[in-house]
Amino acid sequence: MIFTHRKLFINLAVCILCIGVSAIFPLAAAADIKFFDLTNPSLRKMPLAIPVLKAMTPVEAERERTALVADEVSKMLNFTGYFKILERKSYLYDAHKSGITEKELNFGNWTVIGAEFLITGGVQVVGNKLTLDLLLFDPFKQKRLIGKRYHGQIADQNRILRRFCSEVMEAITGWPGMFGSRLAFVSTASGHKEIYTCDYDGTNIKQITKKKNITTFPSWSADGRYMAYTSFVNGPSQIFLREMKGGSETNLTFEGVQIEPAWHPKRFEISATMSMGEDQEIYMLTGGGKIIKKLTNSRGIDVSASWSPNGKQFAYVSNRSGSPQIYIMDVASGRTNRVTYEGKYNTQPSWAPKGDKIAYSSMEGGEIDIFVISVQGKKTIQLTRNSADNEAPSWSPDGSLIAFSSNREGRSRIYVMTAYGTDQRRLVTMDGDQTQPKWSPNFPH
Amino acid sequence: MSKSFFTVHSDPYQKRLFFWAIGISLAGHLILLAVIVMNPQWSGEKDPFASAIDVQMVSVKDIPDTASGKTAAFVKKIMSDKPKPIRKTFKKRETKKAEIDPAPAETADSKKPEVSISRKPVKTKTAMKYKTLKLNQNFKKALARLKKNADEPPARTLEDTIRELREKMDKGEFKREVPKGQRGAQKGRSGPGSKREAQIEEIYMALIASEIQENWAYADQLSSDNEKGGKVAITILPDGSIVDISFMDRSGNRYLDESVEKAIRKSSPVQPYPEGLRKSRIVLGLNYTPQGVSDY
Repeated sequence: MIFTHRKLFINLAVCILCIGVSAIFPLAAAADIKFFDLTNPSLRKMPLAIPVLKAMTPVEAERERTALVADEVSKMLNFTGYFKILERKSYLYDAHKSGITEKELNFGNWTVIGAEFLITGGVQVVGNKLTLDLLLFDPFKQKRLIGKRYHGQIADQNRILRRFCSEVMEAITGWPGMFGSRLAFVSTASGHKEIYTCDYDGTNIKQITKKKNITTFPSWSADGRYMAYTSFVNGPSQIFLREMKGGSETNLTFEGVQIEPAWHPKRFEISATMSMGEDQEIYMLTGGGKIIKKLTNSRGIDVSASWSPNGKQFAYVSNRSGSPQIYIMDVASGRTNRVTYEGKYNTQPSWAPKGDKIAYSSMEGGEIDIFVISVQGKKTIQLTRNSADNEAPSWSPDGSLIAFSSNREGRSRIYVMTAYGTDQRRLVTMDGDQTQPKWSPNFPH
Repeated sequence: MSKSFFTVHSDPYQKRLFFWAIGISLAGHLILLAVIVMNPQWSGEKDPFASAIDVQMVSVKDIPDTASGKTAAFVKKIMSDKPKPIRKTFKKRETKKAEIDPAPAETADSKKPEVSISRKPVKTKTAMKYKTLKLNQNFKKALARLKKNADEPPARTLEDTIRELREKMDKGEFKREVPKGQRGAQKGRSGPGSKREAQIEEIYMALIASEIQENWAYADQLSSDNEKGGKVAITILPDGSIVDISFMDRSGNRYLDESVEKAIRKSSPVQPYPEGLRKSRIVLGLNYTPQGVSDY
């Protein structure tokens, strides 16, 4: 018995020692691992598969929507610049034979074509009612990321799809995208410079102002309910504040020039460039138009305020050094830092929603182009080049896209590109010249 | 009333047995402590992104091996070939580390806002668009490439890479690859641990890294300015199946880590070991740091 105990303990001791040694030795082995560098992704977008939807009943009205809805989702998500939509020909899937849920899907059929994300769905039409089942999967993790059933009228289809796409973007990138946003811009389509708005994709264009005079510099309030702009309708340039829903508006009546309003991102306050009989300086005003304080006070002119997302700082243009350059002011301390040093004419700053970058336009060699600079002024990237004048950058609410105006096709048009300058395409097609795009926040779908 | 321990275990042998147990327990705890100190990631600290952590790929049966036959034959052919002069110099990419911007410089006197104007101009970089979307330039380049290809057989980068590795190996540049305990292996020996096997292993690992890079998709818009990259180790069995993906150092960007993990999963199973490689498993390390569009 005693002998057995002794043997047992010795065996136990040996086992523990062996386990310990085997646990420690891989550390030494790890040091001998040969490492190779991966630096160049072969695809700079995420491969996404969107097969046609399944007709749930199926009736003719459903069958004709199966591809239509899938195409619309593809178009929306493709617009973001994040995804490469995989060709349907490569899919080993038939929605009508297979199902749309994870229990019925064979994820191997999707991983084999390299689909990192998959959207499946079903459509049901009963009279005027539309029901859409939409699901997002990660085939590699064999995991459902979103699974929702949307009910509505057939006319609500686009609203439903925008909501779903916002949810897809949030699930994949952490940001809800810009599918609920609109753009304001200036157009001469009516013969005068007036403010117009359109959906994020350039559709659904609406004329906002009808002043039959010069109206420019649109600016959305943080909740999108108000818009400010400058108009010369009463003679001198004046800032107008407009409630978007009712259309009621009021104007500021201060002496001198009033231009370039910019709403505060956190409070119902607005900054504007006003001369008040002196140099043009930036003032802080209430949403009702009362002056709170003078923000800048320098010998040169200070214009074009653009607020940081937290509302504690703003970027602006000042010519105090002899040429227009971008500066940042901290509102609480009044400290000012110069951001741009390269280029002699840097204007139109637009602070990115993520807070780390500022887009601006810079004139060099007679051509205006769009640049992005880190807030610390350390890293500059030129986004447009050799395409005539490109100016007035404005970030999408998720910070992934930049809208700008360009006369690369002759007349000035509104274009959009990714935050890295890729995927540049025209957004709005209408008569006249279009300038000064301003992206709104996301509205509820 | 309970009796004391020494009353019950008055037998000297039982006492000895007890101290033995204490001793073994103490030794075990000491070993455990040493493991935790030397390998902190085992201490139970979890990455917040649990979905991409602790990935244990037992097998990825769903992914058919479409290329292994071709590439295995290719590796076999390369192994059997005698070294030829390198046609094209393969330059290994330098891993660029993203700049970490320091906090904004503060002005000494907060009451008197100052503007510094003597700053050194920062070099402007060009977005990828102008590397890829310059239509005229790209068209000209493509024409030149076609003309060149018509004159000579198309350059096979992978083949060049392998040849270069082989040449480097012959020059003795990969001394580190020979395990310490096997440095005494004689030249020309073809058994386990021989120089030739180390050479084959090196080439095989380069091929697998290349395969994974081919499957790597990463959206630029998900990158961050301070992207530092990360390290991942994968274990490959002789049949090419990847049985373990272990992140040794995460990048801090969940999307980047997941993109690399997916690239590895897409590649699995990789091509099986070439002839002459007798190891039971190979651990391949990958340093991943994507060049941002602005870094081109």
